[in-house]
Amino acid sequence: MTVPEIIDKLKEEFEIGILKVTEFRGDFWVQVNNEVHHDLMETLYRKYNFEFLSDIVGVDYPRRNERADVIYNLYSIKNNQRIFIKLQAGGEVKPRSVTDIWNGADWMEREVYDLLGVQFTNHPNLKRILMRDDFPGHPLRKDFTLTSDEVDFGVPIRTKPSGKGELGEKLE
Amino acid sequence: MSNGNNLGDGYIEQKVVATGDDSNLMEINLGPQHPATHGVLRLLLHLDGETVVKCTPVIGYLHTGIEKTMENKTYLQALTCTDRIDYLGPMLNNLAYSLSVEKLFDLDVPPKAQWARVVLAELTRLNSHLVWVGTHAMDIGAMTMFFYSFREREVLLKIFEDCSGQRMMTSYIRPGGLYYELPSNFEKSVRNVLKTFPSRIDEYEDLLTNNKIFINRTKGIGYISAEDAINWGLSGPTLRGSGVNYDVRKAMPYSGYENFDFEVPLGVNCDVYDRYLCRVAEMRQSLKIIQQALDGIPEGPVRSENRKFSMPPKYEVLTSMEAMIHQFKLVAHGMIPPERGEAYAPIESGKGELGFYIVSDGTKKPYRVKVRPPCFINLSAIHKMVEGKLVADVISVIGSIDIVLGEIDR
Repeated sequence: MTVPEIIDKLKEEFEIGILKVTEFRGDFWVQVNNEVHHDLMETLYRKYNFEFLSDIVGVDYPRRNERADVIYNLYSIKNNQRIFIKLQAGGEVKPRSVTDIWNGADWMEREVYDLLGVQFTNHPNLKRILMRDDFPGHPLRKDFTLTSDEVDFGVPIRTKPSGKGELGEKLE
Repeated sequence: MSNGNNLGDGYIEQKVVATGDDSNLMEINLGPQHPATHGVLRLLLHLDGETVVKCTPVIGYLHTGIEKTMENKTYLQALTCTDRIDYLGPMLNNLAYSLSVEKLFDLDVPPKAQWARVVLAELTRLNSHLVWVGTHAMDIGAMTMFFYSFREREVLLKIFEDCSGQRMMTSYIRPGGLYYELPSNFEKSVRNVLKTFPSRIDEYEDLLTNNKIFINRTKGIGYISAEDAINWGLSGPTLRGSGVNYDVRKAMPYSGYENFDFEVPLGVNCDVYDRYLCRVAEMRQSLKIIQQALDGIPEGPVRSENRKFSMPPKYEVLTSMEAMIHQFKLVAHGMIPPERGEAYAPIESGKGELGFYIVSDGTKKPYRVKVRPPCFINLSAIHKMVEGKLVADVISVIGSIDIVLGEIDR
């Protein structure tokens, strides 16, 4: 069964749950809403052999209410097919974790939460993973500035005494 | 219990926990400065005597925000960041990024560049595996391997230096082809590699494959079943060691891998030793691919002729008005994708499935670049392999999943 055929079957099963199907350079993206998302993922896993969760990508769109796109990159080793499931999440919309289907989703979801602030429900251990635990904000959000903010190292750092310690001079 | 990666602690003490039911358990930090953790990996181990009861990796010490940086650079500038992700396989990173950009831009690559890319990618895989075999064996106590494999690695780095001027941060494979013509001594030096390496790999196998100490430390250690390996999203030799036949080069051939005759080595026993065998066999297969690619390398340009996205050669800039305009536009504005879209083109890197998911909003900078980091995902299953085993086995397992912290933390 080819990917477009699988998508047709999914459309029959989930009807209005599937919001949009896009094709770009031979790959397929299926945008779903949060109500059917977990069931659809489970169907893909059990019925259509998408046994390999390749990655979970988060993309931030700060102007939207549901400000993040969460994209699940699924691959079927058996049938050699790839499909992308897209979900708009953020704010009130909290997607259900897929760790009960793919164990590998654990760290991937933690990374999306850490860097983009998307909350997942039912996740066994939704903590920061790359940033330290008390880090303020989510760095991959578009409104998180790249520079100009002072870096908080979490410990008091030695500041140069006033009027002294110009570039090249030795500090005490 | 301090299992948060709070840098404010300054340093982390090894301490015996004496609370409640876990009164017999010792909480111990392996790393982040331990040489056998291959970088700044910190494993929080709960030990009952010498048995690992619980293993929690704590990562992020090397987080440099590479993805964020890439979002703020033009498509070509962002390429330089990719070298720094998996610094043992720079050309593979360049290739993965270039393939995704080419998919997004619908950009063609001339045949010579395709074949050269295969040669370079396989040389990089050799480089990556050489560092792995050296450090892995050294962790287990075979010091000699390290010197041998780094001796051979030097030859490969010399080739990279001849190509790009850099030993590690090459940025040589670029969207649209290669940065520049291959150096004149390229064929000679690669032929030299083909001539010397098979016997060198034999040498490694002499030292390790039937080495009793090595076998005792690796056989039956770090077991992960095929179903678990797939479910945890493992890829590369770590997955194939469990007997799952998934190699991106075969499954979704890129850069003309379908033209080459090679095998995908698979493991049987799902343990550290089989992963070792897979990687060593893979090195031999890489040599086989290089041989075929080098023999068949066609003549022609190494960069795309599509001047909207690919820089014109200098002599053209000096003689043609159009070329000068193109050069000016490319330097001043960068490559601007023809349409909005998202692209993902995976490759088989030394560690597993590596891909760059690029989201374009139609401007000169990528809106989002997400790396599919094989090491990060392979590491997430480490507790599956070590829990219930001895502390010494943790070291073998870390070596066998071949991690690079630059890629895990990005």
